[in-house]
Amino acid sequence: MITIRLLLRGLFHKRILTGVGIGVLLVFPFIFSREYLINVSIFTGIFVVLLVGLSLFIGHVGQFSFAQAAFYGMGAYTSSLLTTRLGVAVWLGFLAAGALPGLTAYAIGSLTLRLRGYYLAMVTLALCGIFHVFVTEQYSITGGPSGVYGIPPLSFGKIRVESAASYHYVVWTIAVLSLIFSRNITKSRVGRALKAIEGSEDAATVLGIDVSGYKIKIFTLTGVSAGIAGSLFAHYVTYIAPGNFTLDLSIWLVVILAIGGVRNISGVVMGAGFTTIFPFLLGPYQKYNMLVFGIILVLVLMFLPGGITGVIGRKIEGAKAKLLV
Amino acid sequence: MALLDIFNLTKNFDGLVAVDNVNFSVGERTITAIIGPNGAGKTTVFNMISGLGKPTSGSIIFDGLELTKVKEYKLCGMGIGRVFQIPKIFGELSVLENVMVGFHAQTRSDLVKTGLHLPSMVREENMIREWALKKLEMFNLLESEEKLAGTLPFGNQRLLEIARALATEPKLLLLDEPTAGLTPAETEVLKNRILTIRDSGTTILIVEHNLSMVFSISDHVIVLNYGKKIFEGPPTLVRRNPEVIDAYIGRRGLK
Ligand SMILES: Nc1ncnc2c1ncn2[C@@H]1O[C@H](COP(=O)(O)OP(=O)(O)OP(=O)(O)O)[C@@H](O)[C@H]1O
Ligand SMILES: [Mg+2]
Repeated sequence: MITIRLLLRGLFHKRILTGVGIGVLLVFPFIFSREYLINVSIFTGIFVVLLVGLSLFIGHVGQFSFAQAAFYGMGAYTSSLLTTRLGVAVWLGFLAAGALPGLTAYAIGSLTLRLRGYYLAMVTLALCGIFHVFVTEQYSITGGPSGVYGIPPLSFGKIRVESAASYHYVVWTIAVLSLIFSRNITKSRVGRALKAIEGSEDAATVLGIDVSGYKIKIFTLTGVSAGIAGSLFAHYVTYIAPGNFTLDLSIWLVVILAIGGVRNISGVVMGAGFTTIFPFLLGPYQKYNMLVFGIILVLVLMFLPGGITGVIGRKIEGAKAKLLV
Repeated sequence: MALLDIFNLTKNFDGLVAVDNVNFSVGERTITAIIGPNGAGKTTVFNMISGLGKPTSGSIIFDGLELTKVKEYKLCGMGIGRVFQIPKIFGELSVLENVMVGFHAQTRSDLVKTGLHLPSMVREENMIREWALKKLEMFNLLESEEKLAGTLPFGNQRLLEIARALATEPKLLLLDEPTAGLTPAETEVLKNRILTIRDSGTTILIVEHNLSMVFSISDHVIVLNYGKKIFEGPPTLVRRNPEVIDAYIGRRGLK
């Protein structure tokens, strides 16, 4: 009885959960050598990177951005085109893939986040449309509807990341680092400032916090992380087309975070995993995916405000409290 | 020499003149009070001094600098602290973290430094935790350090907000009706704190409806009515002025 209690308490402990998670990631390619399982893990990792900035933005700035697919696409196209058309080194393309959407986000944020109101949501919806039109119609630059082929694998100097297993490690290293980065932010001076802004923008301002400046910085981060995710995606699948980066994806990502819970790392990881496996789960019923998804969303918003991880978190706190008595 | 000089300050809210061509000065290390009936424009004056809403016209000179051209969030670093009429503590942060936010303008760790958890950021973090604990100790809030600030009783939320404002090390502290909602005992404690703050070198501008307190602690009193300054002077003159009695004191009576 006592041991079961101890075990349960252990399992509830965040550090132990994190340790188990990282352990699984380390041995994953050895245990699950089937290509499609490794793919699931790689895409989940890429989606973690894609979601991490967005979760900070939604969770701590409290606004919705639908730019994620466009930033993701910008990153993918930037490093694909630089490496295939201009022969730029892959690692440079990778950096540029973070920088271009980051700068775009900074510009959009500077124009919209200084205003009161939800202009950003509208502008980012439009951005997705514009991005899609651009990559589809600017045939000579982007390859148009047929996309970009023959994207080289990731390489850092002499080290080429070609096998799925090695890609798994690279992607998850970046994913875990970006999760740590975002967690560090929320647990520090910047995180306190963000929570202060959320509590009262006036009180934050008179305490010297640059309210719109912080909103713009966090929005810039959504661009950088999405761009990096896009580059990781492009150099893995080696072929990209406009259809990979549509508004559907942006909406999905916002909703999946609402369902998973924007304030928790586990919400991000769950969201990323669900984004990867959702198409498989539905199998032949894929054409109904938006319908199914819509129903799940409504149910979650009605019954689980704070998202699934929010509720589980409270349950765990409750159970802990009981166990500790 | 005056720490704050206000010239022809005016604020319009589509048609309503909330503050109408007001002039006054606040001497260094003094306690200056602004009194007047509800809706007289007192809070609006505070808002303009602390950067929350630009004046329609007029100028605010603080420490020799024109404030109306400064970015709102930079005023804190220049030495202006503000406590709100209804406490605006950050309910989702702990009591200690609330005060740590008060040190924001004195610290530098940005997105990259905090994200990478650099040693300089950790050092800064430890330093302001120490400083914040000292402030809590001064205000007898140490035992609530870890509680969420939203769970504090009202009186302590007020104290916490003042502690947080003092963390910014203001030269000028704006207190907007600090005793509203406090018990007589709490009011007495707060009054002594305000005097202590003044003695430590901070200039105080206070809006307050508790006139007996205003007259006992202020060096100078400004009376607003319908956005206009109708009188100013030392407490002894203000309480005897017929216009002031007619517009404000008479209606309230002196407690
Ligand atoms: N943001 C605003 N928009 C429109 N009108 C406003 C705004 N803020 C204040 N007012 C109006 O300006 C006038 C002055 O308000 P203010 O809050 O400065 O009064 P006050 O002297 O602080 O009153 P009280 O003693 O009730 O706090 C009031 O008529 C108020 O309705
Ligand atoms: Mg007021």
